[in-house]
Amino acid sequence: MSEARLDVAGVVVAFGGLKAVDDVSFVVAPGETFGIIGPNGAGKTTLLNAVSGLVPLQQGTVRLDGAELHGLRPDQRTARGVSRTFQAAEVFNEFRVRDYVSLGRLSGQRQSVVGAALRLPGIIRAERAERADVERLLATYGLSHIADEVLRELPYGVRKLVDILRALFGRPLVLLLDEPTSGTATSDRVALREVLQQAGQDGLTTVVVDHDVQFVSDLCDRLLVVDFGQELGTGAPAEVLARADVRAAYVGAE
Amino acid sequence: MLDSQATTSRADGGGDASEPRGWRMVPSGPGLGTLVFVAIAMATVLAGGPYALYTGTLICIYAIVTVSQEWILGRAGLVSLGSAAIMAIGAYTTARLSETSWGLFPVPLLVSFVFGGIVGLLIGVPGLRFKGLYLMLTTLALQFIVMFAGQKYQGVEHEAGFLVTPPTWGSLPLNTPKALFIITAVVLGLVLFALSGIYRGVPGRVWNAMRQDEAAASVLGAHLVRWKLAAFIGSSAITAVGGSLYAYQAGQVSYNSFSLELSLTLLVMVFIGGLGTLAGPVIGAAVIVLLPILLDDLADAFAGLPDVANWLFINQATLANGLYGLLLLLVLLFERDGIFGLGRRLGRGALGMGRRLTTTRGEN
Repeated sequence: MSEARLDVAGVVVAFGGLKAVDDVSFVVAPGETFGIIGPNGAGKTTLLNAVSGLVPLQQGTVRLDGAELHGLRPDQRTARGVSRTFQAAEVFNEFRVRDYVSLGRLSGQRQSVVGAALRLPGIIRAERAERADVERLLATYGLSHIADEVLRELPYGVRKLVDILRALFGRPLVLLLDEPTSGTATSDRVALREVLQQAGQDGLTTVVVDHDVQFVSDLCDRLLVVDFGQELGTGAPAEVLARADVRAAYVGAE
Repeated sequence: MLDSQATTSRADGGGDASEPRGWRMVPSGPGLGTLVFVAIAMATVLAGGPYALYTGTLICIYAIVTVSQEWILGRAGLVSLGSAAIMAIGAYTTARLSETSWGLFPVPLLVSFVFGGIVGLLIGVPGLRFKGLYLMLTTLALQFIVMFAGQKYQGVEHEAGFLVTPPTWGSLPLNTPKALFIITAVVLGLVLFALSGIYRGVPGRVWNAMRQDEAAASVLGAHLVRWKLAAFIGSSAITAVGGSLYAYQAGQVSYNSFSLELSLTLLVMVFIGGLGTLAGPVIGAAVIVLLPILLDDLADAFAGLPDVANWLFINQATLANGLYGLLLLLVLLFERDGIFGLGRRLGRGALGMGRRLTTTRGEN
């Protein structure tokens, strides 16, 4: 497994006595789009939180390109190339689109408070260059017209898309998508899928958590199914979804 | 300088009522806020009598402190109860240096800046490792410690406080009302300039993100402790400069000028003026200084009714506190953006109404 980009092995996350994630393992190859599905409360988001460092692991390891991420804060993991989107698009409602997208590159930015106070030429130049990059990214996705809009005033689906662009702007090694379709309209899902398919073709390694099975299986090379915190199986979408136990887990849930 | 978040008149004139609150970073040249600030300062210098200059100086000093407190309260989302204590550190530093060879202006100001930053670091490191409440408690502790240490430091010998040797440049005295006003206004201008640069750049965006959601901000890549510490150190350094200027203005420094009550008043003023802008805390500072003066004038206005005038005179301090409380309540209930937010909304409303009137006329 030395060529794995992301290697999650035997992860256990418990809240009090409840094991939200119970001994889950999966490996994502470079450039692969990997989906995690499962009924509500199956532990999908907790699994992503474990990778991005928001919840501590009781057991198990998370490796990025072979390097153990244990003990690293979320911001350190982001700096290593683990980027993620948020399930709730309203987290950063107060930002304008262009300012929010620029935060995607926070880890690589020169973060000098004194430099900003004195308006040092280097800082101003870096800021201007980054602004131009944001501009270019928004133009690529046909979103230049909303660059000055405040997120709270945009449709939910557009906010989700902007959040993905923010994550992409940091040029991550691995992109973790937390419920990209939740709260979005069908038309938004088409746009989201196009963006993500493009990113996949560009060689981005992606982990998608979502409850829209159709969306995930269309997008992903392989799927992991979790239920009650435990793995039910991993494999190609068609193959996994045909399994009886997977179908049973979803009866009544979807 | 005041413009960055404050007035941010959008290119389109932006009068729409659904516009969100504050915290917007539109890079622009000198804006309306800067012009207003410079105009008021110039008018005060040129036309103001000694009393106007004195009042203006006080407003500038308090504004330096409230603006720096808004940095931690409004940007980093932390509560500090020790602003008066940090002012005291600047004031003591200035008083003690003023009589030595280090007393050449503005050396004590710069030393206060550094000392304030160091105290911010020492208080911030234990206080910020945990959540917001711990900083509040460590700053409260600082407040008590400084009060106690100040009293002991002054001893019996300096019971009324340390005298500040008036600043001079050669034979040019710097403690005239006009010189003091110019100095404090320039320092305030520099502080506003520096902060507007910080807020419109990457750091402003990071604090903004942290205030909206800390955990999510750390996922974006913000080292939370470091950013909180940066805000607290910077704000403490500037607050100490405010204390230093206070010492020059008062001519005497005693611990009881820097009580917990002053810390609380400053905190309340930041809220009343309005969070998320630079103009808000400046307005808050003006309220601190002007409200007692207005109450004085009110007492004078009732000179014909000695009982009323007398009551107003005796209860002035209580009345001022009561009004602060009332204002705070009104702000919390009705206008979360403070006085500045209210003014902005009224201004926008008037602008929008004017535009509607003109467009209707155009259509007819």
